[in-house]
Amino acid sequence: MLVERYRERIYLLVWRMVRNREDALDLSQEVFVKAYKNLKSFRHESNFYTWLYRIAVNLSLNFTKREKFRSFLSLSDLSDRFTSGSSPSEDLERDQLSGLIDRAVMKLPEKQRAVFILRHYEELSIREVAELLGRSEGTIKANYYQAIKKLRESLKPHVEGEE
Amino acid sequence: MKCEEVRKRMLETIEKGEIEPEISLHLQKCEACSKAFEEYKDLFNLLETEQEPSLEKVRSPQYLVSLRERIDASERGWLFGYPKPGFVVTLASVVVLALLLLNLSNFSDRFPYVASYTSPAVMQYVERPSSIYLGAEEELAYLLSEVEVQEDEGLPQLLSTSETNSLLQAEELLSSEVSLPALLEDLSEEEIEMLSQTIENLMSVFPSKENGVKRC
Repeated sequence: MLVERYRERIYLLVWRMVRNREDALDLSQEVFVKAYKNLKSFRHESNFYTWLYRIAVNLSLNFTKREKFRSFLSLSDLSDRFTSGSSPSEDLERDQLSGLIDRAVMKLPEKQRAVFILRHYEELSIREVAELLGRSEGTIKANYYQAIKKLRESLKPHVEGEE
Repeated sequence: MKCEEVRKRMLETIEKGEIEPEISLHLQKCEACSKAFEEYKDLFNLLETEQEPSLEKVRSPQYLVSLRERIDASERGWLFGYPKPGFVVTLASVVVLALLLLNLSNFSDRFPYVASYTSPAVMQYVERPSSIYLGAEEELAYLLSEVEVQEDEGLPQLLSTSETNSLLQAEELLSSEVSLPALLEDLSEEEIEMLSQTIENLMSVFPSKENGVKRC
């Protein structure tokens, strides 16, 4: 019941963090497995969705760090994963501009990426993001500002082209 | 209102979609803030155009079936209750790597058990006399400063692009909040060996005190 209720939202959150459909599918299931195993530790201090969010964000961050590590081992460019990792149909389905946004988001440092996604896409308030990530509101504000600034730099040619 | 204050409230203003009169007044007068404001606004518009992936697979009954299988497997518990195969090797490598970064000497005498899991080439690095060489972290910092200089000058000379990328990734890993054991948990023995080799290769391009390091 809970899985049916939250699976789409959790999948989208994880996809935004890892930008690869197959990985997101796998990780979203891992979120529910972990939640199921740790249900006893859920203390009702936050709502259930916030708790699930925290698990999803942490698993996604650990996943991308591991991928960076693997990429480090093979001396390859990590951003390749987020273009070649998609299936051809996925490439066709999502336009070129979305691909550029994927790359720009994946270039953000982990903390900033998490803050940006929670704030921008999930529309959580600064206070909620701070609570979820266990950091101060000031830190979250600074991370969010830095993330936007970096995205603006990364996407500058496309931003300037927009009228 | 000063530029600094306007910049601080810029994102909030764009998100709200309403411009307060005093901010509006400043934007009319200040070209730099006005340009930044427009660029941020364009960025948010651009982000809005992003297409989300299809939800077909996550909505399918197969998703729930596969999830049920994973939950059942986790309840059986061998994966979660006991160390994974190769865990000892992984742990040994983590310890060696940590020590490698700290550049400790006489490692194999002090930790023969862990050392037996590690390639001789890495051990050679770990055990070389630390007084002659820069510390690994210092070497990394020096090379990163080189990379920055090269990026500014647009003339990558000292390192290839892949080496530069590796160093930048290494820097991020070293400053990572996630512990090395967590990062390495899923790596195979082969990957651990590759890691040892990669670090060794990186270390070999590091200028040492012995060869005379030129500082910028």
